[in-house]
Amino acid sequence: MNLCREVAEKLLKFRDGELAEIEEPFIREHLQYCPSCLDLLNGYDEVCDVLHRLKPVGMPPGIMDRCKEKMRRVLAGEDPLEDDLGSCCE
Amino acid sequence: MTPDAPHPALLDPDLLLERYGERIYRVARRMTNSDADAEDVMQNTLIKIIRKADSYRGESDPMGWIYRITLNEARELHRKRKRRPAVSLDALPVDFDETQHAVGVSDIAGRPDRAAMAGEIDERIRQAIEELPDGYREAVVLFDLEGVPYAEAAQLMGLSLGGFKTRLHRARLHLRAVLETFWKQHDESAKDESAPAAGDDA
Ligand SMILES: [Zn+2]
Repeated sequence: MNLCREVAEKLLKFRDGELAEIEEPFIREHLQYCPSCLDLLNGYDEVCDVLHRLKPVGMPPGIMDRCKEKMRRVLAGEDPLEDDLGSCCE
Repeated sequence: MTPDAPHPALLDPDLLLERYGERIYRVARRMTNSDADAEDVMQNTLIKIIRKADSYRGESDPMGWIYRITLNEARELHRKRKRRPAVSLDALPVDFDETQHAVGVSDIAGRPDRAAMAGEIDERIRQAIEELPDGYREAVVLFDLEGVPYAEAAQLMGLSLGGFKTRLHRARLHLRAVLETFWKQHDESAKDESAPAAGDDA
């Protein structure tokens, strides 16, 4: 059986060191002779690197004041609640 | 604070914003990839928190509860905007030939031009995250971007650990394919620019 699909399915566990002891040598061996899966693994690592260094976008100016004002108005009953509030959590 | 009393930071708008405002905005912005949508999600989240604070009877740090409300509000916004995910991840996002050999995978790691392209890559990835189906986007935002541990992230999404990891894994594989397409397009346009203007070798 070709192991490519298995490798693709198990890259997360492989990187996290969570593969069963009997599985890991098969994956390692496959990675040595299958360039596609090696590229897949390296590309997967690359995506994780990009995600881990992805900086949050800064807050727009004035947003805290607008939120504070919105909360104040809702608490004071000046702002009618939108229909959908209070429906979806829990 | 006793387990019977609402958390004080959830009852006071100033304290709520001071303690959790930045994190709520950060998650909302990551879920929506839009300043305006993130602000809508943030405002709706804050209002929901102060209205539901009485019912919160959790552990001392309510961040998990706040994350859940923020994610729900982001989902709600996507639903209202009738946004459809650009991809389905019901199957593994990798192509295989008839012998189950992986095909069409190219080498995208360790490119010398990646630092120079970092800004464009980041924006492409932010956009691709926003285009993921809800549960996949949430998995990436919670674990890869917010650093919420597996078990906690799975719990607040109401998934088993295995179910959570499957979503995270497929989302990452999809993002790998997005990066691959990004580099292919980049290389093709670079080739076009360096090719002579005239000449048809057909
Ligand atoms: Zn392979």
